[in-house]
Amino acid sequence: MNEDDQLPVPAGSDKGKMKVEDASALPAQLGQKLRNLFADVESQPVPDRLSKLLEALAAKEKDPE
Amino acid sequence: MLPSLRAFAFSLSGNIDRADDLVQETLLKAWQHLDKFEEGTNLRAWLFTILRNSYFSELRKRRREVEDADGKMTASLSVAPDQQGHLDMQDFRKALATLPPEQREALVLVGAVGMSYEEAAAIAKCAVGTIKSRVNRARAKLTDVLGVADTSAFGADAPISAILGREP
Repeated sequence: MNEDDQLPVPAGSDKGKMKVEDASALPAQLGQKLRNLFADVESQPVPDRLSKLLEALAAKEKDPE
Repeated sequence: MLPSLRAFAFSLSGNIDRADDLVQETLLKAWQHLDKFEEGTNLRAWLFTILRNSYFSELRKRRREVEDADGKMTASLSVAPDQQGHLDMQDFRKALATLPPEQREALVLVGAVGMSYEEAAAIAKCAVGTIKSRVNRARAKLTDVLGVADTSAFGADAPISAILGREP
């Protein structure tokens, strides 16, 4: 998921206190819950007002007045 | 694009109606400023940036209005798993809401959207180290609030009681 493990951490940015360097070290249960919460909303149908707005804006862009 | 924008907005605001308002605002702003979008750059990142800027500027406005009453209340809120050690989604949402917004943003971008620290830092307009530190602090706070021990010491199949450090 993150590809920056080999990148240097800016000096002093973590104040030497943080031991966990990677979000994948989020306790498994929490990481899963976070992704589930996100996916739940993602899988819901988008309300009409938003998709219609997107259509209207796209149409406006094609035919600028 | 719209579903993940909505999910991001919901993760930030914790409220689906507010999330939809944020997405609507984001679309309108994006179209107003379409000339500022550089072709070939990342449209998703651009929309995420507009959305989080809207969220944080409204948050600042609201903070000035109601002082810190909200924050003080949520900071003391503690959410414990139920007796079965079952961490349900409602508890998790409450716990997420106790995080400072900047930490919640970092955690969601990296942990849920799956962005790299660099992408998340570009969206939150801060240093990569700041994002890392926010994710770490968010993780520690959630672990603390939910009473979930770090499971890295346990196998994936460890009984929930071992993970939570309590008897079933």
